[in-house]
Amino acid sequence: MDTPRIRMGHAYGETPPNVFSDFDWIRHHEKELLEKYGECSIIVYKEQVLGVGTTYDEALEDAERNLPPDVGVVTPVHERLHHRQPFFRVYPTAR
Amino acid sequence: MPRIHLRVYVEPEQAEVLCNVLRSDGTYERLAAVVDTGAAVSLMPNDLLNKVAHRLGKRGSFIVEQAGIANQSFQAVEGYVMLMLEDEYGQRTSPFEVLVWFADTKVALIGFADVLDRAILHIDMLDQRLGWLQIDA
Repeated sequence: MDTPRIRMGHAYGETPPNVFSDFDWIRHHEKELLEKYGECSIIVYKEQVLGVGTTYDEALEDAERNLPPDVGVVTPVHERLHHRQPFFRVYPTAR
Repeated sequence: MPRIHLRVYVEPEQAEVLCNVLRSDGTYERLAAVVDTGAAVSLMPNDLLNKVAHRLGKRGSFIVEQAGIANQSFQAVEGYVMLMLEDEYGQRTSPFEVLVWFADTKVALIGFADVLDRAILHIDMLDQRLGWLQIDA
């Protein structure tokens, strides 16, 4: 669930400060990210894409590979990029 | 009761909350979840099943009928997880147990069971574009 340098979990009360800004960044750049990567899992740290993959685990492995050798432990966020539906629920009229 | 600020977005409009889900190793997995007043039960992607600590619910694996688009159904696993909600201003709940359905989905939803049914939900899109969830947890 983690890689040697990527920590996706944190202790209670110790949420890394980048978590909020990184989720925000993904939301504000969702359209560009979808155009570039398509629907996929994405790992983001300090407003930079570290890794992508078809699954969460693949994205994590990609992020670990892409981390420069001189970078230590990072605490990114994971998001599942997807095209949004305008409505979660649609009920057609009775037939 | 802690008041957890939501992250309110436009285009597309939605309100999200940062969920921290207890993992098997004792740490918390961070997850941005959409607050969905149309969801009876919270929904989580099923790839979290092998990452977060959970106990199975009575139904185990089952079919959710008439979910989302009419006449559609999906497979889900019913379980209970320990959840903690948090905002960027340092407000957080204690961990509390929540009924969730794990399913083949790309979006996490926070629904009524064990969360919204014990909370006050406020969303102001008109003036301040903000929202909060005051929850008994």
